[in-house]
Amino acid sequence: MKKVWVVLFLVFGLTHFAAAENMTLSIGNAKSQFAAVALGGNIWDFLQLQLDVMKYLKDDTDPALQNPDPKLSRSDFLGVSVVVALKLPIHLIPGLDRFEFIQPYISAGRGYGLESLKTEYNDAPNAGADQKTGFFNKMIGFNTLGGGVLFMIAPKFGVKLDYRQMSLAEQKGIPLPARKMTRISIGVAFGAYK
Amino acid sequence: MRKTFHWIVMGIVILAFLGISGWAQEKPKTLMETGIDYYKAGQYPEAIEAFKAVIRNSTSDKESQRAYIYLGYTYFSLQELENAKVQIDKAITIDPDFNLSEDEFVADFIGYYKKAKEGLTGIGFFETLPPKANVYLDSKLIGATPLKKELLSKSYTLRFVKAGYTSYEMSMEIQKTVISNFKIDLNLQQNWKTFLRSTLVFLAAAYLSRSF
Repeated sequence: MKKVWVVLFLVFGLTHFAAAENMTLSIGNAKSQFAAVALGGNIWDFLQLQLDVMKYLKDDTDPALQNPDPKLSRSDFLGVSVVVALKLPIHLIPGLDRFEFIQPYISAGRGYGLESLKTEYNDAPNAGADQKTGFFNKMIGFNTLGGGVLFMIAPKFGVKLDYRQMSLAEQKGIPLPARKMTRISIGVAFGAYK
Repeated sequence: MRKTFHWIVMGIVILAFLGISGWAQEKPKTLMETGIDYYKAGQYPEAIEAFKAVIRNSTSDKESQRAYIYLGYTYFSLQELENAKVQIDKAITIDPDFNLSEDEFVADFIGYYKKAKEGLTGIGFFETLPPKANVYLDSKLIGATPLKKELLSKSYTLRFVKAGYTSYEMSMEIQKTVISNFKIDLNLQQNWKTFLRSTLVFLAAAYLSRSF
């Protein structure tokens, strides 16, 4: 099932984001510092679809995730998610028509991530009954829910503040509870966000 | 009790007297009114000075426009048509949509004013779907749609603003003696209905992303 979703992500990403209308580069803090890039395109009035890729810049400090054995260390994180953002139209409120350049939004998304990019980790069988190895079987799913605000300071350039609550699923076969992390970032956005 | 009643009656009488005396007092005439009196008395040089003083000291466009019109009217009466035209053009520039009253000015002057106006203005007709959108020209509110307005012939930035709809901005040009129509369907812009539809789709997407 996971493979299906990954393939869908890739196909969708390739077809839709080939003509991405805007791009955001962000840095921020979740469980560790991270950098992210998001490609977005409007799919309907007030609705934008984004493909977001984030990667930790430093290891997670959580001792439960760290391990000197590269087969078991899960303190890195690389996540790809598809996010739907609903832009809140404050410019439709009487008297605020001139404030179209302030674009608050709420966002929800679904993604998959890897907790280590090391070959040893990928090749090590999952714990428990699963015992599978490889890229697809190491991926963990996560949901995001959040919001933010984009200030378009020029027609095709803006500054974005973003907040997301990320709920990571349990890794398959490993008896660890699902994790939650808060992701806060500031970024610059290029492209028309109308 | 009787004493109180006596004082109340006295108070009413005094207040009534003060009111009547205040009523009887004439308000001092404004400079504009003085100018008009001079004009009516045929004292044109004094009228011209008074109207010029009004223009110099005026803080409102409406008052300035009235003074320019009367100044033009005075020059017109003196057959100084060139000077009259200059003043009338200034008055038209302040508010091109203003029309002279037949009760106040002679027909010849009204005709002269209208002709001067034709040389400077055109008509803009503004319409939106749905109606009652505010119309801004160069950021100045001129009314709500549907709206017909005489405007100076020049280029403007036109903006339609209606609550619940994304405002629409465009460049436009008014040409002399031409009626220009501007009709915009605001339903084609983002509006509160499209936002509601998008919200439903977003909620569905958010729900589905959690059920995978």
